[in-house]
Amino acid sequence: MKHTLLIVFLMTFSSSTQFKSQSITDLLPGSVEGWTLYKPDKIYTSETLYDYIDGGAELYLSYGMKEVASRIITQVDNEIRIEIFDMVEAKNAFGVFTHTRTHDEKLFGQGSQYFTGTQIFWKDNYFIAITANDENESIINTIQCIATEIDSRIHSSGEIPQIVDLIPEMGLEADGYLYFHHYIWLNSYYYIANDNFLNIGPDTDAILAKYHLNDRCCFLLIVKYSGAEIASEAENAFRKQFMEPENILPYERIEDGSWIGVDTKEQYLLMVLNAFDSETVIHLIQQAEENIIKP
Amino acid sequence: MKKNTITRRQLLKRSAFAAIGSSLFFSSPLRMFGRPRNENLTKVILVRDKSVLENEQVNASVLEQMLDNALMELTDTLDAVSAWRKILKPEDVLGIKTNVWNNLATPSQLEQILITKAKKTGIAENNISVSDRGVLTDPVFQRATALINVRPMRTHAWAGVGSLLKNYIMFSDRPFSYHDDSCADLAKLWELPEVKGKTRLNILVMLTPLFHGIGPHHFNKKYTWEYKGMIVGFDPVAIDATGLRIIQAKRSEFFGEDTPLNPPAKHILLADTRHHLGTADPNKIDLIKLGWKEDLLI
Repeated sequence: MKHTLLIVFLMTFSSSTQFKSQSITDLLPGSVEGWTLYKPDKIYTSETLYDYIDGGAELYLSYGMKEVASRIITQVDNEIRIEIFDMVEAKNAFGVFTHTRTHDEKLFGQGSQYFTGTQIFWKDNYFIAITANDENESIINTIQCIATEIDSRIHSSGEIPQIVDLIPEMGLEADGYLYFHHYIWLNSYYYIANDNFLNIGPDTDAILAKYHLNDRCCFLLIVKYSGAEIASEAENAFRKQFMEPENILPYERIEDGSWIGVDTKEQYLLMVLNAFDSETVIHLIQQAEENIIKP
Repeated sequence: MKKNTITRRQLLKRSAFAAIGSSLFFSSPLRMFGRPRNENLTKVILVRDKSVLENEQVNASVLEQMLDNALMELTDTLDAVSAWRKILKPEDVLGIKTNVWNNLATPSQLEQILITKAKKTGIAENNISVSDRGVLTDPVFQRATALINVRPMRTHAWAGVGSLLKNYIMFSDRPFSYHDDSCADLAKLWELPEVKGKTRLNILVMLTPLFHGIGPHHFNKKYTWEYKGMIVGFDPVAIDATGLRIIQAKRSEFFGEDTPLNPPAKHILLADTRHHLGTADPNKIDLIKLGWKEDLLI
């Protein structure tokens, strides 16, 4: 029995060690038939990412990117760019994915979507983008072969942040949520404020979910702070900025006729915006609170 | 400088800014009401021509005519030569700040037109330079007395949009230092000594704007369209605010619902309200539309 456990332990340990000691370039695919390497593979770090991505580096940096491996292959006038981002933690790779995808096709890794000429997916702490400069059947096949190979080279999977389980399901738009921990993404679906008045940062988990209830699009924000006191401070900040001082209710109607609401439960802040009525506000907050206390 | 929180609720409450807010932050296109032309308004020219693109190639002569028409309207002159004389002087040293982003660069035809017009105004060839990333080391830019700011409109993964205000970021030796708070204070670039008071003309190229970004390099041709226009004027904030309204209208049309920019292009509003560089308020902009009117989106 002892030996069996040791073997299982060693296998697990060696597999994990082997994987973690892999260089990010080891995850790049082998040669692709009919395509040639444009130039040697390159690795960019958080310091050099600006040199590589003109105008888009901040998204990855805001999710804590460590490095990205880049390979460009060409075939006549066509070019495919293969990028593997090491996001350090699975939650970060997942966050970048939720930022980019409009729906999860679940074909590669732990979530994927194909856009015109671009395949994205995430797996464990990696976010992968494979982008062609043009699109035809042959290029799509090549992109999918590359995605399959990278997927198979990443042997582990990561956990989806627990905060995702707190989102109420009823009325939720399909894949209509964004996970983040940088305040800039607070306004992703709906303008809320220009600065970080809710104190969202690397140590907070936040999820913004989009609902269709009563023929209206409304939003639920859940932020997990390190403690209940900090969550209360965030609630007060929201009340100060969004609600009338004399209002002690958790909801209020604002100038555009929509309803907003706020509450805290343990270390969680719960906020509803653009709701059709106060009942919708209460419903969403209550559902989320029930999910928080679920064993 | 004190940075105040600007929330949706405040924008809704402050009627004076509600229009700007609804235009810049919220994604619904602003409802404009007819009003008489006012000399105190900031003039912005939107010029379009259906034939400026042929098989995705720029027709330089059509583009030149569009620019001439826009500048005559902008300067209240009857011919292009007179218009340019109101903008540039023969003794000027001219830097044309272009944009070389490989997916959507300033058209070389437009750069060439600007060089030709500057020369016709009397500026010596060796006193004219076109540059983007080399502006700080370019000898002409280093002694420039006049700047023309010209670039295409596109969405941007961190600033919301890349447009005229952001085009001057290469005048900073530390461009990343303007990235804080999703580039909220890009207008400060216009206070740099290399820039301050020198910009004579702003041209936001809207031939094939990018209205949505996908993937690490934020570009997919699917999210461009042939708008075949340019927005021209003296106030970069007013031009950017106008271009932004078109981008937002296109996003709503394309996605079938309000789809706000992510993140919002708040630096345009703040260029007005915080830095007073120009006006972002559509009610203070006299938008003059020339040429092709189909699918204007504004």
